[in-house]
Amino acid sequence: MPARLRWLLIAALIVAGWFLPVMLGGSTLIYNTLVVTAIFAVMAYGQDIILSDLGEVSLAHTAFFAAGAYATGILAVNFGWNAWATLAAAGLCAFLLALVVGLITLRTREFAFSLVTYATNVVVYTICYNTDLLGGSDGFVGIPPLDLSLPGLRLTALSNKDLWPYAYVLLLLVLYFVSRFRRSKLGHAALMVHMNTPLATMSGLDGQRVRLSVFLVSAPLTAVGGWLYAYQRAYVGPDLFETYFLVLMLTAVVLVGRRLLLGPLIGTALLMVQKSYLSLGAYFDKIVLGVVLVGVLCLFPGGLANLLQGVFGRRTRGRAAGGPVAMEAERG
Amino acid sequence: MRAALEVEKLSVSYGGDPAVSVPHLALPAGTLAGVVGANGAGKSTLVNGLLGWSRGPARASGVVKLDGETLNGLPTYQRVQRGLVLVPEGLAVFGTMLVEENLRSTRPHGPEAERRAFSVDHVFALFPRLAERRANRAASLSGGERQMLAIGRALRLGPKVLLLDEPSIGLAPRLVLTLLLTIRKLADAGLSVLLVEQNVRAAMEVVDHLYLLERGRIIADGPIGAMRDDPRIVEAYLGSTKA
Amino acid sequence: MNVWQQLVNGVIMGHAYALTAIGWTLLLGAARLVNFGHGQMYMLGAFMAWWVMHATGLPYVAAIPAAVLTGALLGAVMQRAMMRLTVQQNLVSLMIVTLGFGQIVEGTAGLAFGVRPQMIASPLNAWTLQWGPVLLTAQDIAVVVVTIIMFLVLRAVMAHGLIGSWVRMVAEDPRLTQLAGVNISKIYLGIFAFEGAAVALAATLVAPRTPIITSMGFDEVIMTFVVVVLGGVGSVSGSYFAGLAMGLFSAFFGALVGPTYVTAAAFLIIIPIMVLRPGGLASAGGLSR
Repeated sequence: MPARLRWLLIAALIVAGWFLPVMLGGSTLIYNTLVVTAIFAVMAYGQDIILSDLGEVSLAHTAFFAAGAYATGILAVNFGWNAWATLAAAGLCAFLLALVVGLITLRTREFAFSLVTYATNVVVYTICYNTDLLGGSDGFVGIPPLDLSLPGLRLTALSNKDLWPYAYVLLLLVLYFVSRFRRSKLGHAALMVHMNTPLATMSGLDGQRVRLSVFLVSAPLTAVGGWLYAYQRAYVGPDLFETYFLVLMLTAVVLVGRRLLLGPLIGTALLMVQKSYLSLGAYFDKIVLGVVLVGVLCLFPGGLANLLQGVFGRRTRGRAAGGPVAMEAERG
Repeated sequence: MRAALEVEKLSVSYGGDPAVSVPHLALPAGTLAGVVGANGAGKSTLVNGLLGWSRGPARASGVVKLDGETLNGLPTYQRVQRGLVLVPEGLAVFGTMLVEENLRSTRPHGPEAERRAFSVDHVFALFPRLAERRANRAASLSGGERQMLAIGRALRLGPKVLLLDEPSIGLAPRLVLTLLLTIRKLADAGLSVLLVEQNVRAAMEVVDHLYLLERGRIIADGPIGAMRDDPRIVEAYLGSTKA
Repeated sequence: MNVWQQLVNGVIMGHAYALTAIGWTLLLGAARLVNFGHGQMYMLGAFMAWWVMHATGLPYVAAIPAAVLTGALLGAVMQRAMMRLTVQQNLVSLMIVTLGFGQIVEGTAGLAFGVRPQMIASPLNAWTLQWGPVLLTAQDIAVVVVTIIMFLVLRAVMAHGLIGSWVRMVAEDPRLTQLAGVNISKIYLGIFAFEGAAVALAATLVAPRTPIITSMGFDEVIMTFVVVVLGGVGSVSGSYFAGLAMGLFSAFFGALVGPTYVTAAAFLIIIPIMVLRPGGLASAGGLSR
């Protein structure tokens, strides 16, 4: 497809996306679903970089999400900081946390990495739950509406309907960022380290530095989702540390397929649609989420994209370390 | 007389051209056949494929028959239970276990295999060095001793057909010959063996039949007498050692 | 602070931690599988025991095997679903799948058992003993006794007997085990069923001391993880002593500083271990007695 046409198509899609809630009826539920989809998709993209590019699972991203939300909540409620300042604080907070965790896990891999990131979640949760300064078990209520006003330009959001443009723009920025990341030196390095670490090392890449850098890039990404979530919900509390968000992130990333730019977005959208329109309660949602995650990974690890590919053509088998190969007996 | 092992139209590919493509291979019972070829010729892929195993996602087709019985569709462990035993390349022992444990915990499956299987004492009789080291951890054995243990373990399973993937790798030349002569003895006693080897000269000393594999295809095969003078063998592999 | 009481508390808690960790240790050492659904499985074990007593009126002693069987079944089902991933040793996907199962169990339990906290009415809990300056219950003693028995039995099975050999073979080299004609799928199923059974057993013995709620499970996984790291991955006896150490730490730290920061403090202790000995965690398989 010629480049010009591609750009035109992308521009058209972007414009269409902006008007999506209106096209779907414009009800409060639509706006709510779409805003939340955008927020959780942003959250998921942070995990996506780690999982799809680096090939590890970070259980600390819930903590980054919560850190972003908490930083926003505390600074907005207690100190009256405006949204730009809280945005910066959210990113910085997550970055610092990621730095600490990243340095600790510098030499660990796979399940050790996951265990330590899980530990991060627990420690930060315990601290937040038990420190009144950080909200304690009640968290922070009364977060003011989003106000990104610049001198001469009023940019506030009082409802989900108002929030939509901001959420959408944020989503677009994140998408752009991720696509640039994947084409950057670091992005390529991450993939090399993931696919073949010894080869990467011999090509002059410092595996540990690459992993740390990717980790440091992914944390603020997820935290920014938390930043917007704080304004959307107007409340931050220790429930943000629940495994539910982690599972949500992971399912969104694996559902459609790894390293597909729009994968986590579509995945999040599908899950949020279920939550908004096909839900039988919070417990039911948990079960659905778990079943989807388990089902995808156990039955078609390549995700929906791979499944559809299989319907139309030959399916590519997932990466296997080596294993049984079915012998197709030939007659005659 | 039925071949101990028969392979028809075997093809293993890792996406793209087949890594191994063998239209026909038959191992008569009680004989020792060698499969030789350069690195990357597909030797390991071949024997792994016979057991239904591959080093990555692969597509395989073809028929594998053990003593007339088709093995297709059976998982690796069941093929082993039926009597097709592979001693893989590299580490083929459990390093954390003692030598004796390695032998005792590897047991034959089913009455037929039990009849063919070596007892632990029998293995020690065949490899006296192992008897001396019976209480040592397998990881502390020398390369040669580990190969003996690996073969000993395989014999404990009572194989109908024994596949050996490069048993001589990393062994001193004198040890290589001793090992291969032991394998020859086993073949003389009735065991059917397919020996995959990079060390062509050593293999030629003991085999009855030789297959030359190149890029996954058999480009020459025949009884050892005829193959010894085959120019392709001589030229490709012995040239360097002659001078 | 009553030092003797804290000492005894520590020993009891230590055994509780060790018992909760025993299945996880085996799973991690033998299959390199991290079960992030461990906490939810613990919760399910506790609730099964409660429900059996509540709904059928059966006594506590009958509720225990019921919970253990449910746990074993759940473990087997999970492993069956994960079998392909296990054989491929796709560790990252395996971890995520266990997280997914955790959610399924949590949601199902919420639907089945409701939101209200419950108590497992164990008769042993009411039976208190005074031993000098120390106060303990029969429940506490049961925890210690059962834990010791479990560890001794596991140690014996691992060291002698064919099953123990198979588990150790699978732990070291699954492919070589297959080449020895062993059906590794069955071994994995057994290991995970053991994990399910063990964590359920731990729940039935330890959970009666406090109210249970379907959203719990988080805390149990935390301490388990600490115990396993401290004891050395795959070391069964290591996790026993690590459990004991953590139990004593929890008791004294809790008494001196306060109970709320115990888990956070425990983590801070193991972080240096993880930094200094990262290989110890990610080391290739192998199970030691």
